[in-house]
Amino acid sequence: MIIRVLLADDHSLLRNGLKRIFSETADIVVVAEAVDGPDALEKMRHGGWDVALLDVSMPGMNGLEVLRRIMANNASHRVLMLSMYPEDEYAIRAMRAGASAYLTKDSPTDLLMTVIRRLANGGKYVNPALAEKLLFNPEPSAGAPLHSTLSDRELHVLKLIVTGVSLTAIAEELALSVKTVSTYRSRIMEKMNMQNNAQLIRYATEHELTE
Amino acid sequence: MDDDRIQVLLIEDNPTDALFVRDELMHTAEGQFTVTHIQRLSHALERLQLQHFDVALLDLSLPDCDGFETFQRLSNAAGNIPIVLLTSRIDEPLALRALKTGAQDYLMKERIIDGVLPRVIRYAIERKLSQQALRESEVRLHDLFDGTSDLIQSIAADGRIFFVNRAWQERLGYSEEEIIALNIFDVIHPDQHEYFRTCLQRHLADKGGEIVETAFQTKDGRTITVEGNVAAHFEDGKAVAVRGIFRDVTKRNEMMAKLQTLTTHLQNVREEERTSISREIHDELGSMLTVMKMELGWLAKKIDANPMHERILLLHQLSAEALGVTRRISQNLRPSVLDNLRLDGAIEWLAHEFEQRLGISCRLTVNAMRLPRLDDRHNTNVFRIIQETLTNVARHAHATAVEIEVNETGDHITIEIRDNGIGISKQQLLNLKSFGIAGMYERIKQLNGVLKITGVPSQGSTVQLRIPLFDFVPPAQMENRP
Repeated sequence: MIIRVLLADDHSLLRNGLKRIFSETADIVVVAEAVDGPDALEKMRHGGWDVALLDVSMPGMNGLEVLRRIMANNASHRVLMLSMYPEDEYAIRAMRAGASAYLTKDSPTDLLMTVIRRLANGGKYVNPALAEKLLFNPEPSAGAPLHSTLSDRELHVLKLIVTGVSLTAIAEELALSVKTVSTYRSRIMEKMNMQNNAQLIRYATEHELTE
Repeated sequence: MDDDRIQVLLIEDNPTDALFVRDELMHTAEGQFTVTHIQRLSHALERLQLQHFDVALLDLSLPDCDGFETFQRLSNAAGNIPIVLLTSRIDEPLALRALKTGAQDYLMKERIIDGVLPRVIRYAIERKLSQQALRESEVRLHDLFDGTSDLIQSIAADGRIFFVNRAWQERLGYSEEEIIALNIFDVIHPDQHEYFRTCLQRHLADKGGEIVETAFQTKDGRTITVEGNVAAHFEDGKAVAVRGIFRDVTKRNEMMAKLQTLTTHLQNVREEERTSISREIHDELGSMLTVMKMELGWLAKKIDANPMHERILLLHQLSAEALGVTRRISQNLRPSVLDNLRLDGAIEWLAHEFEQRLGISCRLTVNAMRLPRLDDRHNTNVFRIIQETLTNVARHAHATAVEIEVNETGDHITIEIRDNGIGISKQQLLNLKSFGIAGMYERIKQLNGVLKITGVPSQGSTVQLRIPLFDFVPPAQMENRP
């Protein structure tokens, strides 16, 4: 079985190094390369790959953000975060956002290839120390609905938005400036990982938030 | 001794009267007075140039001068000598007029009886002395009042202006006549009316005392910021006037604002520089070393003959160490978490790193499902404040445990950092050389937030931050808006 790999990293030096390594294997083929965040998102959405190797720090949009967005589309994607950063804070966030593995770029190449093969077979990988952390520090909002991350005021604004009240009218009702209400809206979208009002309305209907 | 005697200048043209006066002084107070008798005013004036007299006894009708003018001319020439008029009965209205313009006393010649004259003379001298002392003290006070650059005012409870000093008048540009018709609220900047009214009320109820900072408007419309104190003056329990002493702090405040801007600028420049160096080292150098290490790993597999294999492994090991060094330098300059994670992630890293490096337990609680994405200004300043706090804990607190609590209310983020150390002292907090703490206050000001540092001896210190979230729009969402 051939594993089709998408390689997203802004350093060509590194991409070329990895390609040289993979070229010696019989089963790992790099089918697409992305040079920054938006490029990565587009090529990942385009499909045709089995495992994506995604850098954390990239121009335009960082890898964690790319990961969140691609997972919102299709949670079955197999993404290996390949990062310069050894800190757990990155690994934990990547795993919670739906990555299947987190490796630092200086990991032995044998390990890298083993993990790619494991992901292609539907598996996951984290180093044992991290596994323990993930196990004993479950995500605070795991299982809770998205809107539970909103403050009371934000929830109030959300309910008004989804019932079709204009930002100006909301501003008047809450005695706030339109700019402030608009900031609330941005923050609601951001917290709930949504891009437009339509998604908000769909979510609100599904969770019976419309009154 | 002649010196102890009171020197009397007797100006009298009638020889009988003169003799009588001289006799009276010699008779009732022997040895206390020396009398110099002169008959004409012009001679008296000449004599005064040559000799000092303690008192002048003056007859108003002289051969070379008569009436009120006599007193006036003598008074002009010898203003500091007490003058006692010797009059006849018909002169009395003149004498009264002279009293009002500076004569010490008058005595009708007919009334000079035993012992009166020496007493009148002594009183006249004493009175003149105390008048002079009073005038000198008035001059001194006036000099203070009008010489100071502070603005001094006295106003009525309803704001009418009683009086102001010269600096006040000059700084605000009003003439003396205009000030009479002025109310203090014509001068207080309209934005400050409410504040000053409450301030006035408080002082009228005798509850004031704090430093007052407010703004005046000059006649030509400029605004000046003043700082000073206000106090009511009470008579029989009733406030009759409110005095205020203010200093123009416009320039000082402008300087402080400039200094603040400069500090902010320096902090930002430093941060930007650190960020760019850190990124360069980490991304460029780091990538090269990573690839180098990767390739050396490959080479080590391909060449298994010694001594080459061992040399390659050595290089492989070195490149790994070099990578570690670039990471450390880059993290010290600017932690990557600040640019890649949200604030909670960055704080988590900070707590974790602190615990690992110093062995002081550091527990972080984030009471928010998900912190909003903040702009770089917020992230950096909050992060650096917490970092400085932890540095201080490590250096001074002798603590074994630190707790960081982050709360999000929707409008604000509050952060509390508590340690169980010896507790920061007032002196440490007020120490002007605590640049770290000064920097923390500068940073919180940039975010319009509030910073509070408190310490309890042997129980620990607490640093509290409260940051409003509503003067910016999250940067990422801006780009994504349709």
